Amino acid sequence: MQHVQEKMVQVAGIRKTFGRRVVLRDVSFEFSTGKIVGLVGPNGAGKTTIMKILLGLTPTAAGDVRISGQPVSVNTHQVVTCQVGALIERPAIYPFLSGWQHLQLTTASTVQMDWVVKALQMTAYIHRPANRYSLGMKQKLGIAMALVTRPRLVILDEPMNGLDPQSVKQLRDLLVQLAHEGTTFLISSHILSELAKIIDQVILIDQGRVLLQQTMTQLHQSARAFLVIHTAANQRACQLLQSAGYSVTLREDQLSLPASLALTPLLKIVLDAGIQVLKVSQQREDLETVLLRLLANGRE
Amino acid sequence: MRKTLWREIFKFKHQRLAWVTPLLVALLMGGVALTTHRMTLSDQKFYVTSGYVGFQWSILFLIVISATSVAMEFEYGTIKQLAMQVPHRWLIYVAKFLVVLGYSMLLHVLVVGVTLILKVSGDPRMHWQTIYRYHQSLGCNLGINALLDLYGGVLIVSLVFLLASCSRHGATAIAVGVGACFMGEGLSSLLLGSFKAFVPWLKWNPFNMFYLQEEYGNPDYRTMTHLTIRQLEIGNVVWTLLFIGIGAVIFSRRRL
Ligand SMILES: Nc1ncnc2c1ncn2[C@@H]1O[C@H](COP(=O)(O)OP(=O)(O)OP(=O)(O)O)[C@@H](O)[C@H]1O
Ligand SMILES: [Mg+2]
Repeated sequence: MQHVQEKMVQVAGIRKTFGRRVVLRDVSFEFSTGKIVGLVGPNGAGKTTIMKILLGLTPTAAGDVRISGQPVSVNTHQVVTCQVGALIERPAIYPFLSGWQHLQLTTASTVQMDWVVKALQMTAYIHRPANRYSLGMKQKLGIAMALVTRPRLVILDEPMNGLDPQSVKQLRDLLVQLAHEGTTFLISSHILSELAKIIDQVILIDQGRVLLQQTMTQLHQSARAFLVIHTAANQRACQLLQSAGYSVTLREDQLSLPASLALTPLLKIVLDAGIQVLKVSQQREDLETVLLRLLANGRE
Repeated sequence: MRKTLWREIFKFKHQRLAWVTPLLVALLMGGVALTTHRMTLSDQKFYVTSGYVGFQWSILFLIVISATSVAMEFEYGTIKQLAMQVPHRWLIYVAKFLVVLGYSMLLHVLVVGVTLILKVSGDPRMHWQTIYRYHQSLGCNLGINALLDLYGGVLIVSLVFLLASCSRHGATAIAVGVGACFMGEGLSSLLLGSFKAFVPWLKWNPFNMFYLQEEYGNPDYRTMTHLTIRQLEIGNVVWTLLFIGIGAVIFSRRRL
């Protein structure tokens, strides 16, 4: 059991500058083996930069990076060579090689190659030269190259780019299956909902800082709940409630209030005024809204 | 290193240029051989020993191959994948250099081979045993020229590798490489002629090393290069190592 809890990635106090511009400041996070972790943030937040640093592709100004407990830097990244597969920014593709030849460059095992081609359903075009691939085909090949050696850690930078809904679903299923078998994933995206179904944890970054690292359960809990009331005369009900001291907002054709309120006195005000209540329900913020709220808070 | 080298060879042999080059060189040599039919015997001998201009064509193609070999990794973004697979990035650079070097040897063997065939169509009074320059036979001359060209080509290839690891696009490296290859000697003479006071230093400039082949054929070049053949040989190696060293460092430090 102890093995399962092993820390796959540990990042502490990373600082990265491009010239005088500070791109990452004091970035720290860690996660355990077998988890699917989402690295989420707006454009330019520093997701790709963090991934490049994890792979030993980019030097840092300060900080410590470890994968499986072994240090990673530009000049010492043996652990990356042996245990990590990655797709960074755009797939690394030579136009003059076929998809199959790309896989040959990555592994010597045809068993692994056959497996990944089948898993990503690339059989139809794997032997065609890559310069005749569509955007999505290239993206799949990039993912295939990251997965083919069955590495312990897989780093994918916006892997869903250019994939059709069906392929996205296949990829999700594949990632979940591999995670069950013990592979750890770090996946970046600027859209959380794309990842929400599969990730265990989310690391939210903005302007080069980690705003939060939470499990999805924690994130769901921090979604605010609302009381939503439909009445026959929303306008008047809103004014009544406001004058009674409730913080109520009129949105579209419904009234929304904080969920923690006692229902009876509130409804009594509305009913006493002779307004018909059509529907009372509770709603939760969706994850995207939570994220935007957290981002807005972080920037204050 | 073995794996890196294997990967580079794998990629290289799947590029069309690798297969088209020998074909083109052979064709161009054939073309030159046709034009030499009406020439005098001594001119024909000259063309035979210089491989029907095949050596020059080879170095042109080698410049293009070297530049694209380095520049394509940055252009296609494949350098990131490569860098993850090796402990040090300069290993990729050295592997690429070795592949081009090996290919250069093959091309030179090809040029010699095609020359052997083309000579049959030349003047029947030409014999491989005929004594030509350096008090050596015609055949020996061809061999010596091939070796000298191979030796001098390494310097040019290392220069192009250096240029390609500095520039975003291979085209720049190709242009400068070709320029250096065909005008470098002139540039060097111009330098040495213009700044007589600095000759003791300027004579070591890399372009002066390109004269190795000429000086070997004609020792009178000594007055122009101010260097002995031995010095030219050593200068070639030193500059090659320097170019490779600097190029490898730039290649390793380049932002990905
Ligand atoms: N080579 C570079 N030179 C200068 N600044 C850079 C360079 N690469 C990235 N940056 C800066 O670093 C910051 C983070 O970039 P990064 O590519 O990591 O963002 P990202 O989170 O991956 O964005 P996106 O979602 O658009 O891919 C950006 O502000 C960017 O301007
Ligand atoms: Mg990015």
